[in-house]
Amino acid sequence: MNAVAALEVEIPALNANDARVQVTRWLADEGQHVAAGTALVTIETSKASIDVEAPSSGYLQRLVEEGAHVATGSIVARLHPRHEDYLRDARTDGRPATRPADRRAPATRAARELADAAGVDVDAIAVDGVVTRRHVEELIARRQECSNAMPAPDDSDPVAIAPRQLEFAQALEIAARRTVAGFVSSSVRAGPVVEFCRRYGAANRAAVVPTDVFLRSTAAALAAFPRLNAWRDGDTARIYRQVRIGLAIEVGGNVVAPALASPADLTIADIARWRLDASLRARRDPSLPATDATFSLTNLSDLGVELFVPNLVPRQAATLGVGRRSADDDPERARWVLGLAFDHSLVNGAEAARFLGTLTDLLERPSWA
Amino acid sequence: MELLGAYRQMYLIRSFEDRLPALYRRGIISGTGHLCSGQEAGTVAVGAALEDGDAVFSNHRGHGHFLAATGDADGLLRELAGRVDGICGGRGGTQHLCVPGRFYSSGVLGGMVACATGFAAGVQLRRPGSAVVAFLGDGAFGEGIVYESLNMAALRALPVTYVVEDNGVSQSTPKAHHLAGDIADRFAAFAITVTVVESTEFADVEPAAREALAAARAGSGPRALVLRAPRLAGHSVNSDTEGGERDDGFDPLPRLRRHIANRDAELVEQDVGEELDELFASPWLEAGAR
Amino acid sequence: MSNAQSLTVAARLNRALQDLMADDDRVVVLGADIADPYGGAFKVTRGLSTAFGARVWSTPVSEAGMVGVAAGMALAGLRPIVEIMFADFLTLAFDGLFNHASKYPAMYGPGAECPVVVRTPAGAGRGYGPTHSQCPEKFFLGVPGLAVVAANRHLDPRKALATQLAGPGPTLWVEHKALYGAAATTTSMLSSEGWLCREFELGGLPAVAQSQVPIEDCDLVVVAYGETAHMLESIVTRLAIEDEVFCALVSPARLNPPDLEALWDLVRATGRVAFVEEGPEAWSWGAELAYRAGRECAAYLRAAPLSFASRSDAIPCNMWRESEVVLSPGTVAAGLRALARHNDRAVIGGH
Repeated sequence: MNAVAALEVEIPALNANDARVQVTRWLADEGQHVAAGTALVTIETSKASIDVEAPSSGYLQRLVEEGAHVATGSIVARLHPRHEDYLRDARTDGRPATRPADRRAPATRAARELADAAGVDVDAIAVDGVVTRRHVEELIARRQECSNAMPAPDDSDPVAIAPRQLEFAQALEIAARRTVAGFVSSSVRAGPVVEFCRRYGAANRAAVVPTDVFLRSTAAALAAFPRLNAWRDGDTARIYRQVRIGLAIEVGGNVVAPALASPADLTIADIARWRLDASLRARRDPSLPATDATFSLTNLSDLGVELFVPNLVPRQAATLGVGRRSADDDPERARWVLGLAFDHSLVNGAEAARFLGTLTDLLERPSWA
Repeated sequence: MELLGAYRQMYLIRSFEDRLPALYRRGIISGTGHLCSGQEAGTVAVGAALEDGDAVFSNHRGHGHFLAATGDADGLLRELAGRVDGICGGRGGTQHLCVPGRFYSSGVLGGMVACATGFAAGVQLRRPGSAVVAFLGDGAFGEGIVYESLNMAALRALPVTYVVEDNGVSQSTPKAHHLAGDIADRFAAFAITVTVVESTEFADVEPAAREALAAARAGSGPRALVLRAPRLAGHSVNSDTEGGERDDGFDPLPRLRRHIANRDAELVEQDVGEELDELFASPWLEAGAR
Repeated sequence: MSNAQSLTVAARLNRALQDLMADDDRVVVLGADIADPYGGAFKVTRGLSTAFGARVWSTPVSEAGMVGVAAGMALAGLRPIVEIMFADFLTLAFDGLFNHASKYPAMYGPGAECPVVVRTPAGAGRGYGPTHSQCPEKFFLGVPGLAVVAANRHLDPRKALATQLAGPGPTLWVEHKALYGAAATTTSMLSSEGWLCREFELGGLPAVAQSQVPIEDCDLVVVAYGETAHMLESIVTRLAIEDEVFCALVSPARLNPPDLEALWDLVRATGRVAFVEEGPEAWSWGAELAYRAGRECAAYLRAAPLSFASRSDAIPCNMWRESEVVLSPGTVAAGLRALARHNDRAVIGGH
């Protein structure tokens, strides 16, 4: 994304004597949009006070504090034509923004962080003074109480929820709140991959299954569509330098998603080995750390699921779910159903569809090492 | 002021001061004291020229100035004795006397010269027609603030008369060692009209004092009067500095007495003596500070 | 534009002097170079000589003389306001305040009121060097009978000067130079900016406590005056937003009030207090108040009271080296953050 250059506001040389002047008072707020000609700042020379006017319109980024002494000719402000450029500049400047022009209720950083994580609107909390983390905690507790306060009907028995599952659900909730997801689906003839697995397995004396081919094919498709191997950092899309596909594995009621790094560099046999290994590890220790996958794959085709819409995971542009439509009367006509959920801010429907089309082609003509 | 009246005043001041060392020795008055014996001519002459509304500023050697300006010997003695019913509630003592609007003194040299100058500025703005007198000695000319005051008084033509009582010594230091040049020239440097009276004859001092105060009061600018004032009693009651010789030709009391009929003088002396005897025998004096 | 909204502190001071002189013809103003068109080194007296003629006296350069003269004017019934061009020059007038003006009411008694106000610009930040940048007010704090007052952004100078001119004794009134160009404000303006404000009195003049959360919930009280209080506004805000360290910033006008009980109430409520000043450290305003806080609030304190001040050294002329001597905001912020976490004594007794 190319920024439009901001106009710099410099201190004019007002008389022959003053090499330095004092910035006494800003006349417009930080981040405020000013019209050309608006008085921006009052400066004081040894002789007089004068107001410096905005040479153009724009969003004001103040570079010096009131009271500062500056040399004549130095830059004291920038005027950005676009608000997004102002936001980026003001943040990377390293200086704290002063009163924001949008007049949000003041809240501490800790309060905002907790509110964000808990899905609470910090601006809706009315207090005397500044909103603190404690206010947010109290609001969360109150909401909890409200829901707790309704007497639960005594027609159910408690069972434990796997901790990873709750955590994962919370992460999904955040992702869901922050993104608008799109969904596309396609169907793939299962026959070619099944046949490939049989032949490959025999030739290499390895137990390979379609999931291994899905992993390899997805990696190849992502190489052609890097925007699906990405995440959104505020207003910026960031493309991962490596493909790491998280494979959902169910272990005793728990779902873990170990990530396979750079499948494109691996043989199908390698991938199969990794898959078995990851399953074993997961069975042995279900409390594995959270995945750092860049893309997610869930294969529910063996469980009789035909189609499912996967949830977007935080910091991933897309996630793939596989179901299966069987045709009992003709095994050759069995088809997998691929469902791709994608972050609409990073990927649009056409691109998602093209990715899926490429993946479908790869799956109907498998030829891997 | 006629001479007998002047003599009475001068004699009162002299006698009052002469009785103080005994009170200091007996501890009825604590601390130090600076007696003005020998300065009576100028003191009484200036006092005679004062009108209602005029104010006097003095220094550490101010008992005589006080008596000439206010006539309140009783109040002065109570204050010296540190009594709550003294004119300053016993908190000022000998060097810090005050009758609001009429008399102020302080022993930090030079400060009251500036204060007097400021008071005169107040008079000039609020009630022109009054005069302010600032008494100072030759020693005070060591202080820079004196010159700052003269400068400011001259620039604004303030109604203040600076009366210098030149006794030729500053505590223990003779004038030749502490004052370069001439006192009168110092006033001339600020274009302040100065009158020098070498004589300690009351009859010579009195018209000069009257004229100087009248001129200042009239608004023609500050005036200065430089008077010879023998210091007969030493620097202070505790001091081991020498006092001048009495009746050495410069003592103003015997000089004035010569111009008065002996019988009249004796009556005055007796009268004053009885008055002061009574005052100094007051029961509250024995009771000391309260 | 007649409200505080658009005025600088200097303009509000100028307006106050005009109003005072218009309302009371006993008020006179003196100082070097205060007459129009120059109107004073920092323009605070601009317009006065034109409006009030002989009641404005542009004096020679005689700090001792002008303060001594002002004391005499006060005895004569005037209400003098003296401007000493730089606070560094106050020393020349020390005798006039120490032995004269402050002592007249005490030594002489009723009728000898001496309500001289000596106003003077103080403080560093402009590279004026060692003898034009100091904050010497601390040297006057212990003078009996002398009120020491510091102007700040929110103080109404007209009311405060009128209070001081009612005497009975003199007032040293310092104005930090950096405040002159700052926006004058009021507690209602501060409130609309998000501060919780509480106004109370110390020594007859207003003191303001401002915080981001109610004072009872603050971690500490930080007391400062003049420009230092202004500087602390941003420090206190950042500590609140970034670190959830909540400070109650108290900015008094009267620096040496006879009674500090209203302040100790706030200190007892939070259990921690720091005093911050630009003057040189040691034997300072903060050192005295820290001692008193320890004495008055002992049972409530969670940490020893702290005092922050500049280094005790001549202030260099070079603006970048000036910051090596003068109080640094970074040091204060770090110190307050550490103080807020201090809990080295159990709080005995309840409140």
